[in-house]
This record gives sequence, structure tokens and C-alpha cells, in this order.
Amino acid sequence: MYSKASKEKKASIRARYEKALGDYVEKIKHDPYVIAVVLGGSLAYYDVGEDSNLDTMIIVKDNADSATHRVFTEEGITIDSFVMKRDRFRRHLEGIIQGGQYHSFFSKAKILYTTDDSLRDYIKDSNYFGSKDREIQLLNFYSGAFYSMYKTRKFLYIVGDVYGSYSFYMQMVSCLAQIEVTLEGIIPLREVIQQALKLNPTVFNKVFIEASEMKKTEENMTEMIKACEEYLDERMEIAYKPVLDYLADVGEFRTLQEIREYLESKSGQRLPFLNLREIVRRGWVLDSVEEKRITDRSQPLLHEPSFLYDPSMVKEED
Amino acid sequence: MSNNISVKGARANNLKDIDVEIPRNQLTVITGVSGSGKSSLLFDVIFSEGQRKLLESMSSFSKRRIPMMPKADVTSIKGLSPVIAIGQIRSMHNPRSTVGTMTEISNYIRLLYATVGKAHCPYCEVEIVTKTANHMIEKLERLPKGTEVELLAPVFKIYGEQYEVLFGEIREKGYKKVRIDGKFKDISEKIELDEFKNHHIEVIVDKIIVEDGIYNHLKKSVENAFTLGSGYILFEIKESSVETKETISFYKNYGCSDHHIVMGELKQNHFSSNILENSCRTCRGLGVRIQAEKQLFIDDPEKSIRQGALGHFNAGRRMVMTLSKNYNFSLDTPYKDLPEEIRDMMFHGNKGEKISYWTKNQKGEWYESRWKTHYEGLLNETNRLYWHATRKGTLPTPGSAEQNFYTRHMTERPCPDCQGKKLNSQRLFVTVNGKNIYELGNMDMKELLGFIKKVTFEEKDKKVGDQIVKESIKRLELLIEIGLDYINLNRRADTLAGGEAQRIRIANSIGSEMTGMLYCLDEPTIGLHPRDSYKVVRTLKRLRDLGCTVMVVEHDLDTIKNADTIIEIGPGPGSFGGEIVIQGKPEEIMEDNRFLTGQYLTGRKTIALPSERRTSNGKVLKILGAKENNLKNIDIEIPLGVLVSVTGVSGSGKSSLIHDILFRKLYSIFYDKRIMAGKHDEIQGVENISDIRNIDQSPIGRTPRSNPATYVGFFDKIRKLFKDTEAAKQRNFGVSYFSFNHKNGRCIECEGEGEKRTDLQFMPDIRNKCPLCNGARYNRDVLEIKYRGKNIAEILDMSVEEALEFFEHDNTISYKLKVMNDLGLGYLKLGQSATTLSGGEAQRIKLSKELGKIKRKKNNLYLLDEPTVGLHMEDIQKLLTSLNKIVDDGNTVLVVEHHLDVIKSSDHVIDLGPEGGSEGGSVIAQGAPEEIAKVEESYTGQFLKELL
Ligand SMILES: Nc1ncnc2c1ncn2[C@@H]1O[C@H](COP(=O)(O)OP(=O)(O)OP(=O)(O)O)[C@@H](O)[C@H]1O
Ligand SMILES: [Mg+2]
Ligand SMILES: [Zn+2]
Ligand SMILES: [Zn+2]
Ligand SMILES: [Zn+2]
Repeated sequence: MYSKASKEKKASIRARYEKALGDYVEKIKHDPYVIAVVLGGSLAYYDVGEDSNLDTMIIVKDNADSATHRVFTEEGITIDSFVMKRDRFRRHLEGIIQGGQYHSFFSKAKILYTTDDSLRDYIKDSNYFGSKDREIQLLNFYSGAFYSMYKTRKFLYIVGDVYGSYSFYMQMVSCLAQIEVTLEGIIPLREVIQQALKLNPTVFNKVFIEASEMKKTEENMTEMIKACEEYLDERMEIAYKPVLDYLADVGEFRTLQEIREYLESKSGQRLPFLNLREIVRRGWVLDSVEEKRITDRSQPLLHEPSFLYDPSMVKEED
Repeated sequence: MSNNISVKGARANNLKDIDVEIPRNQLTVITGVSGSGKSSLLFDVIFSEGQRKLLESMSSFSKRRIPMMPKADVTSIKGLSPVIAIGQIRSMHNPRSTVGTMTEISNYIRLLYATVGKAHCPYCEVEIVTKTANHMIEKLERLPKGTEVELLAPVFKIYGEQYEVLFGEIREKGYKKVRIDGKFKDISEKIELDEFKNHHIEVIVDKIIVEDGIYNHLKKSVENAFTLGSGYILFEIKESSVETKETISFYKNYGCSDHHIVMGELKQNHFSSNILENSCRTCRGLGVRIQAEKQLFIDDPEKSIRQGALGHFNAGRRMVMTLSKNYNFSLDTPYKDLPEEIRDMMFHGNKGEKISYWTKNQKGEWYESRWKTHYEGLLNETNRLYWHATRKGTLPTPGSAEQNFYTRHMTERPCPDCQGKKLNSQRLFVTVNGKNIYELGNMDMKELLGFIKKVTFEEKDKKVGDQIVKESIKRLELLIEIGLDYINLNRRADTLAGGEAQRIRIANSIGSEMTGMLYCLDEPTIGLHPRDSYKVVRTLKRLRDLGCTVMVVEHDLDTIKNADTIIEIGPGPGSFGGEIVIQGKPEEIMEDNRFLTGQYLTGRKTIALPSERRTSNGKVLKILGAKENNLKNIDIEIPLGVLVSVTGVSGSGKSSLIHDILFRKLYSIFYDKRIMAGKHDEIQGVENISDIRNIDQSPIGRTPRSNPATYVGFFDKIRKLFKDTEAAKQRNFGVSYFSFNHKNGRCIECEGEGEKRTDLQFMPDIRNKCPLCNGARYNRDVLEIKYRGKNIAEILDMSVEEALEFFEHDNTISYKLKVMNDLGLGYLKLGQSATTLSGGEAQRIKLSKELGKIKRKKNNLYLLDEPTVGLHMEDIQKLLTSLNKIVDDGNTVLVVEHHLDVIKSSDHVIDLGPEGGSEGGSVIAQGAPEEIAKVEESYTGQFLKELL
């Protein structure tokens, strides 16, 4: 694929980066307050380009202080360094929403230097994507997908701006890719579309590659949206299972707030934009309203949506 | 400074512009009949002026934050010093306040546990030594380099919650790995556990490889484990690590050698249940759980559900419609006429039965949906929402609409997790001489004193230890000296009788050894047996000897006799009083005929013995095998149709018998099955009574919105009189306009409270008259309406006595007023707010409400706890007349009483004792007063002998 010249050029860039990094670490080794230097980003798992920076995480002792984000430079190369105390680093790694941004950093991270071997296990373990975490993340990704879907449609059919619509469409495709990767038990990285293309080329070639290349017309867009909808529909039951299980279990109405808080309390993870409109639209659950006040001091009662699910009835319908 | 406090021109309430000189550094007793103006002089004039001057002398900074108090209605007071009022009104509704915190003894006890407490392994209860963080680290650092050690923290789930919730919490704190019954798990995975089994769950807080320079992060991790494990830390050397002498001996003598657990160093505040990390996780240290209560939901059983019988649970709610359609009952039937099963279902749900859900369409029309649901019931629903908010720490703010909903519909029950112990189990695993801190809190003062005296200290703890012992003993002895030997540290402050709380504060004052203070006290002998009232006098004299001026409103004859100076205010109540009748040293005035109290003191005047004892109606109520608290498995027989007194020294078991067993049991039979009575075998003869009425001293309301007129129930009638006036008719003012609780009529500034409140942390709230209505509570339009020349605010400002004259022509109103007047309440203002009424006044108001109702013959049982509180001898005569009237109507009256004049006037006496606490709980004597007097062992009998 690459020409010989470009290969050579790449090798020389890489050598320059590696030298800079080596020098940087060598200096740090003399600092008794630093426990470890971890490399993430381009050099660790991807190709470096001429304008790349280096991304590192520096773990320091619990009794040392530093700003969180420091920028250094070595041989003209910028080195972005996130500095964390050991305790915070540890808890951060275990508490983080898996599949989130930090996770992406550590999933391909390399320890360049450490005085504390116990950190190796922590970083290694952080690659693990637990089933409960996957459940919550799927719901988050689904909510993201529906949000972009509404926007895509709105710009296409109401605003009549096909390019505006396309920009939301691409966001939706990212969410689809996150769903694909998560369902496979893999941690979605920043390059999630590439990951999804490998896992499910049929769908993603169409919704990503073909969509990029096609003429942006209302008709073409409609077709792509339909493909995405089908994709979402097929996996929706799996994604919404935790919600339906919970509602089936209580057998009564629960408000959106209650459902969210329940799922959050059991996972220790956040679920900020849980979207249940789609499962109502599909007739899986019945929505009604509960009377609630905005603040506990308020008098007027407002209507908060609440949901009921009855598994026996859904089966009858089938 | 002059030797007197000289008051000139006191005019507050009924005081008639009086001058009085009160000697400093003396014990002065102010006495007089109820309503004569004693409290007006002591509290509304002397105390309030003292408090105002104190505030005035404060820096201008604090002054700006506190609105100025109105000047008391007095020309001048000279010779005031810093003033402290110890009243009876229970201002504390903080459920976290206990006798222990009030007296500060808890602080010392906590220090004791932190200093010499012995920890135990939470799994096998073997004793383990506590270690400081440094000690632990040192020991770890001595392990061979490269050894892998895991730090774990044992954790426990919340009662009634699933394990998953615990895992969610752990995750949120930033931990992902746990060990469950010895197996490692990742909690980002789903984990199935038997919810009913007790699993050992430990969080892996850190993994450490022993090396040089790990001190800092080790220290941090030990701290983290300490917090997470509530003191307990578990060290585990990884199996793969090299086995050496050091690793093998690591666990020996170091924590529990089976479970590898050590206890970190505990500090004093680790034993405070007010700090969340120490407290029981279920109740968060309250010891009680708030629970929805059925009867509190029933607003009016005569109304239908559509009309609001169950408040917000009305026909507008989808669930209500769903139930009504599925179970075929009408929402227009009065609640009380609905079938029992239907009523039960509203509260307890339909036991999971699937029913079709009814909802409304866009146009607001009802239709049956294709969905099925079930109903959990109002109680479960309310509990679920409330408990959820408690756990999340999102309880509504006090005073908010939601909070009001909860307080109106829920009551307290002992916490099912800690059974009222408040602390988490980790803290209760720490003991001193085999007792945990909760058990210590349950000992009565005498027992506790004995326990503390026996604690010994190692050399290194000796200095702290001796200090703890000295300070606790000092406080305990003061409490015992003032007659509170039967009380314990765990007792909640808001369950104390007014007199008990007051005596604790007196003991505290002596303990603080402040001199030159001015104390204003209100009936400190309340609740004490005559045998013990000398203890209060003795303590008050100690306060005086510290260089303080002590002024007391008191009816107890012993206390009056022992005062340095007596002031009698009177001669009558209300407008007939307000003057100094007599003042002087006891010996100077005792024989003076103007001195009304003196006539009783010297026996020239007495409450006459009843000419004959009534005999019972032949029926009895029997309590068999009473064992609650200190009761010694006793059997009691209560004759019916007579006046019965239950007597005995404080703490002898009277309340356990009458309130905890008899009242709660009968209440559960007549009203609410779910009320749990105190321990006993059986109550026989319940069929012989038709109803149970408890007339206690709890407030008739907790806000200024209720008052005697609203409570006794003639205010509605008065409002109707106003509505029917020509002026009201012209303006189309309905009855709601004459209610200060309704937005139609009330003043918009104070919303009908008549005053504005300012919270001060270190002093009682300051209440200022509302600037808009000037305390009238109503808006101007309403005040323009007059009934026979008076507006509604002026009527609420009348005393019962004045109102009696004013409403003479109206039979209903005047009858109820007369009953109140007969009970010695003639001086009360009709609109006096419930928050300013003493416990005794509240009780007599309740009594008047009952008396005002009695019509046909019934066999009700009335229970009264110390109805003589706040009553002068003159008033006690009136009380007895009323009680006798109730009995003569065929009812039974049972009083718990110390006042000998009531006891001697009873038909039957049940005397418990002999002492308080563990040395009480037996029946000493039962029978007519004459028989009790024959019993040598009965303290009551000995006192009675002199009166019969
Ligand atoms: N605050 C942060 N802390 C930890 N990791 C981060 C943070 N911000 C971004 N990351 C992660 O660090 C990695 C590098 O991020 P960056 O966007 O700089 O990419 P790069 O691979 O270096 O690209 P380029 O070649 O353009 O420089 C990404 O995986 C990103 O998710
Ligand atoms: Mg970069
Ligand atoms: Zn053990
Ligand atoms: Zn509890
Ligand atoms: Zn007002």
C-alpha cells in the first residue's frame, strides 16, 4: 500500500519520536516522586504523523502535588502529560465508565517506566469490559443514536438542510459503531468506526463508506436512515433488556427518573440521557403520568412520564 | 451591684403595673393559682428583658443578623445579670439528641471506647487488637521485598436491599474488584447471589508489592480501607508470593489469625452515630425508620373517595380509577361504607393480581387500556418513595409540601436493622469490659456509675483514662443527686417528660460551674414522687451556692417551704390576678391569712377527703404477666367505673405498665391492629369497656395554627356567627374568610401565624409580631367585620373567662367554655398558639374536649398522665371535680399521679416499686388508699398515712 519512500520516512519519524520519548523518561527516572510513566495515543497503538504529539500519563506519589495537565517538549515534540496521584489513578481506572475516553487511553497503553509493579495489573485489568458495564453503555449509546436520529430527520424533512442532516447522520453512525463494538464485548476506542468496519463490514460499508461517497440527496439519505433504523431495531431488545427486566419485576408503573436511578444505583455508572420514547413507540411499554413537583417546595403538580411493562402480554401479541 | 433585682411597672399580660424586688443569690419561689401571672412575671418580664439586654450587649455584627426583640412590657428592671431560662416546653425535636448528648456524658463514653475499647473480628468475634496506620505499614514493610499483599475492606449491605446496590455503591467509590466468600469477582460483571444469605464481601482496596518507598501510597491505601471497612482492614499475602518465616508469622498476634482482619485506630468521633460513616446504614443513625401509617391517610371516613376521604388518593388518579373499575366499587360511596377488603386493598395493594389499567385519552376521557398491572398499595408506595429518598440523601427540605406530606402520613418505628442501636455493627463489635457502647447507654445512671468506677487503664492510657472517669462520675453523680438515677443515656431527648428534661439542664448548669447567672425555672419537680422532690430543692440550693440567682415557678409544697423567699401572685386567675399578694421569707409569712398557699402549707386549708369511696361496677380489666422493661411478670387488676391512681417513684414502671402495655394493647384492639404493645401475656375484660382515650401531655398541635378554640372545636361555630353577619353577607364572605389558616382571610405577610420567626442557633427562636397585621393574623378586609362589636381577632384574643361572658347567649359555645373554665383554664386566650401551651395545659384542654362531648352513658376508659402538672392546690380541687364527673357518668378514669391529694381522693390505688429502674417493677400494694397506707414497704403508703 505504501511506497518505499513513504515507509522510510515513517520509520525516521518514528525513530525521532522514540528518541524524544526515551530522553524524556530517562530524566523522569531521577524524580523520586514519580511512580510510573504510561504512554497512550499515537505512538502506542497507531501511526505517528509529522504533527503528532505524545500523550503520556504520569503517576506520582500520594503526597506529591501537580497540575493535572502539563505540557512538556522534547526535541521539538510536544508531550502532553496527565499527572495523577497513585490513589486517584487507581480508583479512576476501576471506577471509570468503561468504553469512555480514558478507557481508550489505557486500552492500548504501554508502561514505559515504573517503580511499582502492582500498577501493571491495574492497567492490564482495565482492558476488561464487564457485562454489567456493557449493559449500561449500550443504553447510553442507544440514547445517543436516537438523539442523532431525531436531528438527522429534523434537518432532512423539516429544516430541509440535507448537509446539516448528514452531519448528524455521521454522529449517529458513530453511535451505531459503538453499539456494534460493545455488543461484541470489545471496548470502543476513538477509532470506533474502524473497529466496527472490521467486525461488521456489510452494514458499516453501507452506512459509513457508501454514505460518505453518495450524493447527498433526500432520497439517498432516506435510504441510509432506513438502514440505520433496521440496525437499531434488530438489537434494541438486547439493549433495553435491563429496563424491561426491571419493569417486569416490579409489575407497576415507574417514572423515568426512578428507572434511571435504579439502573445507576446497581451499576455505579451514570446514565444521563436514558431514552424510553422509542420503546413506547414500538408498543413494548405503556406510558402514563405520575404527579410530581419540580422542587420539593413547589405546590403545582406536574406530570412526569412513567412506564409499565407486562411481559406476558407482549408474548400474546407475538 | 445592688443586692436586688428591682422590677418597676410590670404590665405584661395580666400584671397590674406591679413593682417587685427579688433578692439576688437566693432561691425565690413564685407561686399562685394557675393563670395568676407567675409565668408572665418570670418569663415575659424578667427573662425576656434579660435576654434582650444580653443581645443588645453583643457586637454590632451579630446584632445586624438578629432582629431586635421587642422591649418587655415593663418600665424598668435593674440588677439583671446574664439570664438562662430552663423551661418545660420541649423545644427540641431533634431525634438525634439524647440524654447522653444533652449531658455530654456521651462524649466521655466515646472517648473511653476509643481509648480502651477492645475490637472483635466481625466474622468470628475473636478479640483483636487495634493498630495505628503507621504500625500496620511498619509491619508490612518488614515483609521480604517483592511480597504481594492485598488490602481488603469488609463491607455489609443495607438491610432489605439487594447485594447489587452495595456493588453499585462500591463501584461509585472507585473500586471494581471484590472477594465474595473467598472468591474474587469483578463487579462490572453481573453477579448472582442468594439475597437471603449472609455473604462475606470484601472490597479489594489495593494491591501492593513490598518495596522501598511505598510508605506514602501504603498510608493512603490503609486510610481508604479504613474508611470503606468502617475501621476493619484485611491483609492478604498472595499465595504465589514466597513463603518465608516472615510471611508465615505475619498473621500471628496480628488481628484475627483466621480471617486476617485488623482494626484500625478508632477516635472518639468514630462512636458518634451522628456521623454517617459510623451509623447504621439503614436508618442513618436515627435508630428509627419512618413508616407510612394507615390511619394517617384517612382524612374523613364519612366522605367518599371522590370527595377526598383519602386526601390526594382521589378519583383523579389513574390507579384509583383502575381499582374501582376492576373491583366494582363506587368512588362515591362514603369510605366507611366500602367493603373491608376494598379498604384494605387501597393500603396494602392487591397482592399481585393482574388487573387492566385504566387511563385517560387526550380529551381526558377514561378508557380501559390493554395493559395489565397490579397495585402495591398506598403504604408500600409511600414507603418506597420515602426510603429511596433517604438512601439517596434527597429527602425534601423541612417545611416543604413534600415533607409535609410525609410527616402527615408517616410515623416512626424501631429500625429493623439495628433495632434502635443507631451505630453500625462494626462499632458495636468494640467493647469495654465485655459491654458495647450501646449496652452502656442502656444502663441506668446508678449502674453506669458502678461500671465506670470499675474500668481500669494501662499505664499509657492512664492520664486520659483518669480524666474520662473523673468527668463522667461528676456528671453522673449530679444526675443521680437530682433524682434521675433511673434514666439512661440512650433515652431520646424528645421522649423526656418536661420535668425530666428540665432537671437534666439544671444538672448541666451546676456541672458548668458558671457563677453570677440568673436562672428562671418552670416547675422543676414535675414527674417526681413526693419522696424525691427534696432532691430538686437540694440541687437548686447548690446552684444558689455557686453564686447564682434562682427563680422558680413552683406548686410543690416542699419546694415552696424550702425557698429563701416566696412571692405569691394572685389572688385569682386572669383579670382577677396579676398582683403581688404577699412576699417574704417562709417563716415571716407562713401564718399570714392573705398567703393562700400558706394555708395549704400549714394545713389550715386542705383538699377534703371524699366522704365515701365509690365501689366499682363489678367489672374489671386484668393485665396478666406484664414484663415490659423492668416489670417483673406482674398481674394487675383494674376495677372499672371508679377513679384509679397508679403510683410509684420515678422509673418504677408506671409508664411501661399503663402506656406501653395497657394503652397500646387497647389502642391496637380498638383502632389499629398493627400497633405493638409492650411485653405481657394477656389482657382480660376488654369487653367491659367501650373505648379508650389517652389524655396525655403532648402538644395539641405543633404549629401556631392550632389553639384552644380550634382544638376544642367551637371555633367553627364562631366563624359561622361571623359569616351570618350582615356585613359578611354583603361582601359574600364565607366561613373560610374567618380562618387564619385559609388564604382568603389570613394576613399575607405572616400567612396567618401572627408572627415572624428567626432561628438562632444558640438561643430559643426569636418571634416578632408580624409588622403587617400587628399580630392579628387576618387581613384588613376581614377585620372590618364585627360580631356584637368585636372582630374575629379580638375574639381570639379574649380569655376563656371573658369569652364565657361574651357568648353567654350561645348554648353550644358557652357550654364548652364553661367546661374549660371549670378545669382552671379560664385565663387562657382562645387563640393562644399551641406551641406556647405547657404540657399540663395541653392535657387539660384535651380533657375539656372530652368533657364537652360526654352525653350518654358509656364505659370509656380514660388514661391521664400526671394531670396535676402546673396546678395550684386550688386548681387541683377543680380537676378532681371534673374527674369525678367523668366517673359518675359511668366511665373509668386511670391516672398516673404523684400528687398525694389526687391519690388520696382515688377509689383504688395501684402502687409500683419499690425503687426505680431494675430495682422496681413489682406491685407493692393494691387497694383503697386506706389499705395502701397500711403497707410498710410502700413509700406512697407512708406519705398517705399522714393525710388520711
Ligand atoms: N484527558 C485525557 N486523559 C487521558 N486520556 C485522554 C485524555 N484526553 C484524550 N485522551 C485519550 O488519549 C488518546 C490520544 O488522544 P489524541 O486526541 O491526542 O490522539 P493521537 O492519537 O495522539 O492523535 P494525533 O496523531 O492526531 O496526535 C486518545 O485515545 C484519547 O481518547
Ligand atoms: Mg495526539
Ligand atoms: Zn475472625
Ligand atoms: Zn438502624
Ligand atoms: Zn401578619
